Amino acid sequence: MTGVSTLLSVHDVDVHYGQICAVRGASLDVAEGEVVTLIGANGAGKSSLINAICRLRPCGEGHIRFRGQDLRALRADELPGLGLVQVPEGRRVFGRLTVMENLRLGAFCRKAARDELETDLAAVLDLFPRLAERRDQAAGTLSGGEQQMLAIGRGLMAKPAMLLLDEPSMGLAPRIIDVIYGAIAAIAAKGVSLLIVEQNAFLALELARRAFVMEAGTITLSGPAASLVDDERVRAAYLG
Amino acid sequence: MTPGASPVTRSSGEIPDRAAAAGGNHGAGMDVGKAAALHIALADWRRRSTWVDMVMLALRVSLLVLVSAGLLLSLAHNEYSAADWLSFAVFGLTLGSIYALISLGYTMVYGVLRMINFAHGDVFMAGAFGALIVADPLIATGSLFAVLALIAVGAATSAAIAALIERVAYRPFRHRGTLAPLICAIGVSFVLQYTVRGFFGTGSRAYHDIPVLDGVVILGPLQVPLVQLFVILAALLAMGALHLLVQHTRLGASMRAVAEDRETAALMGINADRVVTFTFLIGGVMAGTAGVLYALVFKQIHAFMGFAIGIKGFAAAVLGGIGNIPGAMVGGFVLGLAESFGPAALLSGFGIPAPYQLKDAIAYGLLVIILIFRPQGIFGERLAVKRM
Repeated sequence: MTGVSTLLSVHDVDVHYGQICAVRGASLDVAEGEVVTLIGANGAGKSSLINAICRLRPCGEGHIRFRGQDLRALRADELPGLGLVQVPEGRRVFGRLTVMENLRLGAFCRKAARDELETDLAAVLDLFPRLAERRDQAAGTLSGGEQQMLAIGRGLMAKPAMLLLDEPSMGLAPRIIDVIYGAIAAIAAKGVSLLIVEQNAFLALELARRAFVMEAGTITLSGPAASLVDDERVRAAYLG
Repeated sequence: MTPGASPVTRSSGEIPDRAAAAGGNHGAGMDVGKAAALHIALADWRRRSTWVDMVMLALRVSLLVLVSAGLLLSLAHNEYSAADWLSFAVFGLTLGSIYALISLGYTMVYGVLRMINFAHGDVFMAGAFGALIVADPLIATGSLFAVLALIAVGAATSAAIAALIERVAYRPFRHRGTLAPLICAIGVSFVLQYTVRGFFGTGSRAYHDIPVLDGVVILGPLQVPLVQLFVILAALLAMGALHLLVQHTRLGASMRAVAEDRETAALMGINADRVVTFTFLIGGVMAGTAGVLYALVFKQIHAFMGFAIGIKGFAAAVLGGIGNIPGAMVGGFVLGLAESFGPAALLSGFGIPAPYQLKDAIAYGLLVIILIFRPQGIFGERLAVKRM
């Protein structure tokens, strides 16, 4: 972590749902241009932590900083403007809106000129040619894989400095997962920082530089992805 | 107790076998085969339906009999000429445009907040009175432009009041998940009614006659009051503008996004509070426009008119499928036409004196019928899963 500036830093964060504690004392950090993954089993608290970062869930203790700015003082809808964008779990595309409307809404936080938006739209459609074929279709009629492409494309339209991807492979066929991860690698290559939340640890560890492992609401392991792939505990728990 | 939740399970195989047996009976001739098939279908239906289905069917049949008897008797009476029917149609469209404008406010607010703004009828009333304040000097100028200015003032009044109500009375309760906003809406309704009564009195008020809108247009056998055509045209223009706004602007897209999934909309950087304010503003613009148009047609307004007409607008929204914008427009026109045709077409045949007095019974009867037979409204969709 030396020499590169920290983009996102989460320190000692708790997330509660009523009496239930979903995340306890979680800390993680992502540097500028880095790809980091947060892996863990279903129900480990990964999404709760991500949603706390994005201000969709209130969090108790600790601090969340993005480019040094404390996010806890902000509302969820103020974050995309800062360059921190989440691609939510389960796609959550706007089903009644067309593909193009969904993509344009992704750029809602920007005050960009029309030409600039058109260029970015073209870049997204270039990355996911399937979306270009379906541009005027209602997003609800797309297949799961296409919806995931749309969700990622919509996130890219915000021109994020950092993208939080929550379970981008969930419920998709292996062939489609390859397409999605190919696109994610391309996004990372352009210098966008990524925090990828995954149950599918293999994929994420292959792409990421560093990884954090979450179990029952706490982060139990962290380190370079390459060393975690070989870690006995990770192998036993997630890679089989 | 849903009709679909029949406890009777279909014993598989039984019906196809019997149908095959009936179909295989070639020697008995076609008619016997058909009769048998009908008999089997009937038996099958009886086996599968619950008493709720029977009651619903009885309701449907008696309704159909009642409506067709009324229709035939009324036509046999031949009390009204073709020109009468046409003028009913034009009046129905006039009334319908006012209902449609009001119902848009209910449906849009329901779309983004899942809440019925029961003060909306009084927002409509306030628009008519807001324009009343400036009506005399404006009308004195005698131009059509003055009428448009009148509408603009009414729309602005209602929009401001609607946005203020949202900020003061609804927003503080939004995350409580209780009946508080509904109770508040009823309270706000009273506040508006008695405030207007305080300023303008209990009696009916009216704008002065507007010469440019006086007179009739002759269309073949039909004499249509010019003001009715003006109202229909103005309402259609307002609805066209709304449609463009909702379907083809960034703001409209953000509104649709919040209506569909508020949390994800926030992840796009859409401030839901701002969208809600905006929704109340345009709902108010439509209601205020309706208020002025109503005053132009009926030539009298009073402080308590918002309740009954507001309920009609709400009925129109439910009719079209609440939350659905084109549905609200169509629902408004359907309700207006039902009110203007219904008394003459359905009631006069039964020899009911002054059937027009019963137009409200027709309107609310229509609402009850829709709620019984198609609770999701004309354009509504069943929500299979509760949206987040």
